[in-house]
Amino acid sequence: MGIFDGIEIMFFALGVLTTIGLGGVGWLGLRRLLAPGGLALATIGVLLGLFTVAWSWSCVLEAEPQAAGMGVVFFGIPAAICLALARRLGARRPARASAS
Amino acid sequence: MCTSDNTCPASSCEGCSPTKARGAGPSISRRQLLGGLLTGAASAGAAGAVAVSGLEPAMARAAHPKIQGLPYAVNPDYAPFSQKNVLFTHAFFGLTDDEELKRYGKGFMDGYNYGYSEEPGHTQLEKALEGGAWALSNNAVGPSPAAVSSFGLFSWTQRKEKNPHALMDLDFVKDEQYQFESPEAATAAIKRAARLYGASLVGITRRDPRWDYSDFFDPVAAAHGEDPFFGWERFPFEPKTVIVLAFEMDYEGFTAAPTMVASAAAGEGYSKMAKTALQLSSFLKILGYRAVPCGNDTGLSIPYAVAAGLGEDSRAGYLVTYKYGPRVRLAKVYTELDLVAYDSPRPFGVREFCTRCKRCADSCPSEAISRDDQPSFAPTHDNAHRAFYNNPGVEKWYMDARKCLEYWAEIGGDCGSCIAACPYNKPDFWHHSLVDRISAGMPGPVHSVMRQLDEVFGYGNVDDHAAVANFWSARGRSYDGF
Repeated sequence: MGIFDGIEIMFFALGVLTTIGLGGVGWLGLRRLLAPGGLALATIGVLLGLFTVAWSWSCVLEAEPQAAGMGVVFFGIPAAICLALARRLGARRPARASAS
Repeated sequence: MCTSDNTCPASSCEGCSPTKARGAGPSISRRQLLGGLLTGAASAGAAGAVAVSGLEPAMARAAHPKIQGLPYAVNPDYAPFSQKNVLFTHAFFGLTDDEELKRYGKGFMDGYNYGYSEEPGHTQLEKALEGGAWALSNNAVGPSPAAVSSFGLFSWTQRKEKNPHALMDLDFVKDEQYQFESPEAATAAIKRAARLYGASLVGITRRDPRWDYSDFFDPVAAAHGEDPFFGWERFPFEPKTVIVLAFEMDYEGFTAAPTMVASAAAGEGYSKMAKTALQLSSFLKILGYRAVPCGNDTGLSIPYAVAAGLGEDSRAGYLVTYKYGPRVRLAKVYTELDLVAYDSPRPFGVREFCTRCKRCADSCPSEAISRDDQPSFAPTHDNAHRAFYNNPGVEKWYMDARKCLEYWAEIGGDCGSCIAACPYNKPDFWHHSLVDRISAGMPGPVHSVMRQLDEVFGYGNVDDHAAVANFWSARGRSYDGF
């Protein structure tokens, strides 16, 4: 017996994940750990990832498992690619120590 | 409160992170981070609430404005359809010399009334499900689904007094007519009452004689050897308004098309039609306005539903609504009340999508649905030369009802594959509304891609035995109130 069910839990979880995801990107930006391009990619990746969770969870709730799986493929893989590129291309390298 | 700037060398300060102290760039305190997260969460929550509760309907209204007149062309010489030309009238009630049609009608009725087998979706269990779903419609309005008027609860009779033998009776027309404050108030009250009685969607339009049957056939009179044909002179008043009611049919039931599970979902829709249309007509009678409830009878439900702003017509001939797609049944209430604010058609891109999609035609086992790219003003199918059941003069795709009924006779029940396969047939979930909105704003070639993606994502399958098992599965369901 649950107080919340189905889509209520989904939207609550999405709220938590949105807070963590966008908060994390904001934190990376404030700490200047990512270049502007990396930040943009990370933001897109987080938003796509959130959309993937929302889509696939909704498909499970409506008893369409194939749509849930394809949602992961269509939206989740691009999200993962964006996040990987953000880390790979957007991470600031530590400045080399200048020779004195 | 920390007042330090970014150059503070302290590493033990409560307000700063160690990283900041190491000078790795502009920093944020734990308190600031927590505050930011809470602010972000609040903003996201507020934005989500706006999106869910206010913005989405507002966008829907803005994106799909009302239009004047029907969203498709009607020839000036269009003549109203005669109910005796409904295919069912010929096939079920013998109004034909066409032995093939009679055989189709008998095949369907024998299968419907008696048939079941060991085949998944057609067992005694599904037959029982079907029987229960149709029970109210069958017992209360009899042949109304076959377009027969004034039968049972859908009687045209307007009593002026209470039934003296009834303990409780509120189904007679009051002498005093209730006066609404405004047309808008009348519309709002009617729609609220209809929703209470079980309608999923409600629209109100002016009566348009083009969409009424020109004359009627009474199978009971025919069976007694009396003249079975009659006209509007029997109708008890001059109708001014038609209230159109749409009823959502069960999504899971239609995923099992073409089986008795889908027929049960349709039957449940028909039973809701009987119940709600009767209740709304009683509501109007007690307000002092004469009213007649109808199902498929008396007038053409789909043009009336389009005129009342409930949706659009489609390739397969059914209504496609914004919220439930084609998975609806329609009922009507004719009334003399004309002090209402009328609804208008509100197209949302269905016809454009239908020109390319053709998924209903691909899924139709009898190939009854047109595969023409563009709609026409007359039937173009193989039986066009003898298609008395198609009424030309409206720009649309003409379906070959003869082929459809032939398949019904073959399986001994109705089919529903076209409804199940339609990409607009989705549960009422946010992500489908989003896709619909994007699709409506995209150019034609994208619609072809959307149709392909619909298949890739696993929607709209027909002849899927797993769907029958899924319908009956108790997994994930709770019926005990907890």
